[in-house]
Amino acid sequence: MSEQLIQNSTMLHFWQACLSVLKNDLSDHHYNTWISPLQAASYKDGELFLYAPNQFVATWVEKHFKAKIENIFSEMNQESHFCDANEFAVVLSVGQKDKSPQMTAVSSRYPLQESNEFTPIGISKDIEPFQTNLNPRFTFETFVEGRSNQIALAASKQVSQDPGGSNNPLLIYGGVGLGKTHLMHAVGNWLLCQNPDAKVLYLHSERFVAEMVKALQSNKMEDFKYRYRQLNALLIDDIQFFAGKGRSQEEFFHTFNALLESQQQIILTCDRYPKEIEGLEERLKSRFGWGLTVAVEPPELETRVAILMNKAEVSNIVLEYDVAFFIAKKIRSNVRELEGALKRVIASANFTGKPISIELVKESLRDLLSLQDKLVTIENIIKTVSEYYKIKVSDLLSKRRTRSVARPRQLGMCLAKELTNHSLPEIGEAFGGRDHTTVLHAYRTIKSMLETNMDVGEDYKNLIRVLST
Amino acid sequence: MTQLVLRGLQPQFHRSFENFYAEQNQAIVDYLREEALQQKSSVYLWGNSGCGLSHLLQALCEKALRLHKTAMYLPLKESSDYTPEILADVEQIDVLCLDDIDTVLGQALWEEALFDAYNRLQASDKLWICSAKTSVRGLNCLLPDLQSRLSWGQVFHIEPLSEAETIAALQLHAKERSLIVGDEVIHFLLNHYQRDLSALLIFLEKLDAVSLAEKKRITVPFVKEVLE
Repeated sequence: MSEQLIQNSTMLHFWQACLSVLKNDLSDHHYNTWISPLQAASYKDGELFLYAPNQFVATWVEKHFKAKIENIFSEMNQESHFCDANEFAVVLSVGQKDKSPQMTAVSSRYPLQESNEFTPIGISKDIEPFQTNLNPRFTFETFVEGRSNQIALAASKQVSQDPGGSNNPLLIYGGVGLGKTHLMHAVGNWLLCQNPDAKVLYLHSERFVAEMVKALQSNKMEDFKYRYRQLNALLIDDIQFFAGKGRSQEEFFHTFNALLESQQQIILTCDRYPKEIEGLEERLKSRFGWGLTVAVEPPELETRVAILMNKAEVSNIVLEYDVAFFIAKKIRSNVRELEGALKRVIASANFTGKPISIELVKESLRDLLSLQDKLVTIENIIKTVSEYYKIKVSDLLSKRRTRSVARPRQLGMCLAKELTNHSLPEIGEAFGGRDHTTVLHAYRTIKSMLETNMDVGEDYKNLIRVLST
Repeated sequence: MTQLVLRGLQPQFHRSFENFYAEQNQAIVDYLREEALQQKSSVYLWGNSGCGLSHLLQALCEKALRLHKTAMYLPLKESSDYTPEILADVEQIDVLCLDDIDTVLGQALWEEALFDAYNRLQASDKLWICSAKTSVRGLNCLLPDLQSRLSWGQVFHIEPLSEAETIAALQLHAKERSLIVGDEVIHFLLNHYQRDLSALLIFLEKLDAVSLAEKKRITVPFVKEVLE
């Protein structure tokens, strides 16, 4: 064993001892915030090298705890003489010890280069290794198809068969938790599966902005441009976050053009139809529409049930249809909340040893279900509709019959019939003392308009989402 | 002259699963202790102030460290001490524990940093665990994307201990340390000090240390003196 290895093994032993002293000297809070994230990297000639996860922690530890750690080491050495050094110095760096492909887990095809090279704080590594950031769990196989997402799924599959083809860029839009990111990753994973050398990069738009700011600050814009323009597929999530960020939009515009010109695939997601994003440049909005734009809708009841049954099967859990139906009927806002609810039920079944039944669901999702029941009241619907259309509650409940008030009122009555158990006379009474036939008329009018009028359909879906989230 | 209490003679109180009085939350505590670090499904804990959320998060840090993992506990109630940059590259840590996440919601920069951190931890198979005073639906998030992600993993409601359970927990803790603390002292503490069990246990440690240094019994007048 080399002298260095012996030193490092001794160092690890003393680092553990140092941690024990720090734990006793510091409050749990300080210890867990600033010391727990540190990793001892190596030791050489009186210098102890520590890794911190980021610059903020490194600077804080340097300022507040460095001297203390050095003192502890000196004291320990006086007692144990584990090395010849008279003085100890702590050197902090940003990074992670022994970073291996298994630990990063985000890319099996482009593992980070394993390197234990230590770079003290203030010095950055020049070349960042390539990471795809793809989640291997998000594939077409694990995506549950339903009426609400079948077009988006078909479009994504088409893009995966012909990347850089006519459907470039592919833009998927829809509310939160409906599977946009899943589809995007599924295409990315498929492309990698077909060509393991393909450079596929997924990132959230915020990360793109952050990386650009970092590149600007460190005067490395050329590296930044090169990094993005060499890609075979760029997947950017939630482009609505570009709104109001002029410089980022400009850079993204150029990256977008470069990739499109070289026929590399771009996939974007957005929480709304891109033309509706305020603060996004017109030239970007227009380019986003060059390829294929598809929507994902909130899943209907049957799809929600199918999602639950599928997730249960993946988790090796027996879920009766009526139990899945009960959960799906209650949780309608998005797939993420639906999955979260199922996880809670499964955990509860494991805790109590009881089989999964409607009773157990009611018990384990008590807070969620009571909140749901509490949220969807006629009063809440009236308030939400008024806020959505920016009209006064008093106008909504008044006798006025102008279109700007009458349509929201009809939507409100329709929602009250759909989402609450109140009788039609009760709903009419709550909406300014109207007859139950008025409520029925409103309900039928809106239901038929949902098929024919895109705006009403969009408003209706948005209101349902707000009310059930 | 005040007698010094030597470091090392007084065992410190460190929050761990072993000294968490779970009662009706036992199943959740078992999950956090036995499964959370393996499952890596994000965890959202919520409950009233004083029900032990901070204790549980720090216990998880302690457990992670014992398993030679890295962990970070971030009490966001004290976010004025930090900037959202503290979450940069946070996926390099195995376990991220965010206490009182609700206190920074509504601040765009924090929400964006949290959202980004969540995505990166999930993609790197690292554990995200956070606590708040309300259920996920009760949060006032600017970013619906963040709110929906918080409801994605395990969501547990921590029930507070009843007064009788708190008293029993304090007495048990005192007994373990061979401390003689009368019922009247415990009732006095419950009426005049924080009712959060962790805070009470830490104060009990302090009483122990001071009573040893001053060679006094722990009585109500003595507690008043220490409180003053």
